[in-house]
Amino acid sequence: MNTLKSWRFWLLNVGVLAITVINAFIINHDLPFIGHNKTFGVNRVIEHSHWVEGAPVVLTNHFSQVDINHTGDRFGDGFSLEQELIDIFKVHSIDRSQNPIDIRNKIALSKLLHFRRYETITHCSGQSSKYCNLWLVWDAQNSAPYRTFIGVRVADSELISDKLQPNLQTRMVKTYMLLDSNIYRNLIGDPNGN
Amino acid sequence: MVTEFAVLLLISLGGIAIAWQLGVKNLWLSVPVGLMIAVFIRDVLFSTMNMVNQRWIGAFSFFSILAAGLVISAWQAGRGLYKNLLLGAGIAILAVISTRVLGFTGTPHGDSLWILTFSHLFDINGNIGYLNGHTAIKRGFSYPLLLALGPSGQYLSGMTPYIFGALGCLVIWAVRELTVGAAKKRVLWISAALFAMTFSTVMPVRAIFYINGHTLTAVGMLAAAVTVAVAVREYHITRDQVLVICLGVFTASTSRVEGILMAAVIVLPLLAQPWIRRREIMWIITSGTFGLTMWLATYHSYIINATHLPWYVFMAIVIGLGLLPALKIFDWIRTRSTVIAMVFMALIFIAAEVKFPKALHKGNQAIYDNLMGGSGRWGWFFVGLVIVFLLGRMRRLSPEHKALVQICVSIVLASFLVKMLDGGQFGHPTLGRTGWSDSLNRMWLQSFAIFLVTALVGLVQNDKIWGAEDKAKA
Repeated sequence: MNTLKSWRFWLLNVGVLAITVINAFIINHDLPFIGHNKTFGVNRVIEHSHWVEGAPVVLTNHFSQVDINHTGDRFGDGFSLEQELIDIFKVHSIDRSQNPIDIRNKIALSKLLHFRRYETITHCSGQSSKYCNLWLVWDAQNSAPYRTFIGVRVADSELISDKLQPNLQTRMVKTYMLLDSNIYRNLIGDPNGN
Repeated sequence: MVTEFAVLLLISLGGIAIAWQLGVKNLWLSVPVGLMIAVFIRDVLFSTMNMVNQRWIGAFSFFSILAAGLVISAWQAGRGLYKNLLLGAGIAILAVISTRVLGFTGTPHGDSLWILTFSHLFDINGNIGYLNGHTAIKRGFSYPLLLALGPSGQYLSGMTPYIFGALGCLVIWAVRELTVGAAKKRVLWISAALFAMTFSTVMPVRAIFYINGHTLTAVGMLAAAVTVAVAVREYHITRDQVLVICLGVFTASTSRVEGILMAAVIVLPLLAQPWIRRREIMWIITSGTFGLTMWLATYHSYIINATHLPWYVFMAIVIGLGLLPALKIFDWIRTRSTVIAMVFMALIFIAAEVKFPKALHKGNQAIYDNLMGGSGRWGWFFVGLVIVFLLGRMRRLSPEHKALVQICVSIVLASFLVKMLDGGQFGHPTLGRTGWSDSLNRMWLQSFAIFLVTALVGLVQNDKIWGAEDKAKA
């Protein structure tokens, strides 16, 4: 038996070596995992990740009781907040019966951006992308632990997740806010008054 | 961090100690079997206590059983057990250090966050009825249950790398078990080559910290597959081997929704043997059907609700139907079931490709991009696998190698069908999309270890590679 004279033996070794080199040095690849993580609380992990489904979790992280209305239907003119997350993270109530209020002609966006606390994306429809931007807006100076958030539609903006990917042309998408009802009342008026 | 060390050590050592009591004394097998025992105890206790709305007792009794197992085994086994315990403790400590001290964590992914959400629900003793939809059922049962054992409000971060460590131990056991009598130099040479080919690519390394049930499913699948192959080789199955297969089938069936199908195709080469006893068939199948139905019942799943049956009637029917293959009248089909299943799955796959060419064209392209073009982060791993399979023994296969090849082919076909069914149930059959996070692309994490072990056996057993052609012919 002379292994070194076997062409199969050499084919095996050269093949495996070539593939190892290609895998390690030639084919483009990203990091298999990430380091420097110090977050192990599930609520905080979700908040830090800017997850497409994460809005209810972020709100309940910051407030003792959260009520949400005017989200509409994600397959219509509204946006998605997953029921499982609403239930698991104990959002007090959600009313999807009415579409988000269109405030594009009611107030300058710059006045609201001042209060923007969190940016994420959400599922929606009626455009080329299945994602819309979703901003969570509340007044951090107000210490009230009970908050009601109203779904509103504002001017389209560049899709946040596109901006994170280099070499990708960013798309303009529908943009919604979950707006603290106190801010709504102070800056726009009665949400039920239109 | 101290809580995490304590919890993971107890899970590891308790599982290994109970495995010892049950007759699993092999060093490398003890860690994965200990893990699967912990999975079984955790699932059953949680589900049972959930029925009486006392889930908090589930975790308490889980730790109590593991601690009791550890104390009793340590007392009875004396010195014999310490190597296994040291190995388990070493892996557990390294796992916790890697996540809590070095700060390594998995690549961010939506499925990971869903899983953490469910583990949070278990942690806070929330209403399990929230998990009755298809979102929850696709993310598994056993894995989020294990993660929920972390410090209050946190997940058990070391569990994921520990599971990968257990998979590594299982691979070492599999290689040793399947190459008994082979030249050691061949085994070491091939092992080193396949190791380099595997860990030079992203996905297998990603699996170390990636928060998902794939690696746990892989542990169950590999344990079952290798034990099946060994039993087929020896024309005999021992009580310990039945235990390992049952634990593997249970673990696979409860950690991913497709796990029961994968477990089924893995055990077929064994169930098709004419010499297997009927009670062994029943034990093996029931370990899968019991696990799956228990999971569905605990989640108040829409699948049970759709039948309008009480959960216990649903369980009884599924478990009862699972016992049918053990009947004598099904022997003709049973003994040919491996080939029948492969042909059946291949025909469905071809029929779907013919009927839905447009819908599946994108998926076919995605498979190519993911597995050959680098988009799936597998590099040229699968190109390499094809090469090593072709260089392996191709004719007059040994019984264990033949069983493993059948398992590999069946797993590939089953993975394609599961992916098609995922979209197909909503009228849109698909074979996935380009990118590492595609579910079919991630499903290979469950089976790549089986492919590697099969390739290794084929290479080691092919004398022509080692320049011993004449001897092989003789």
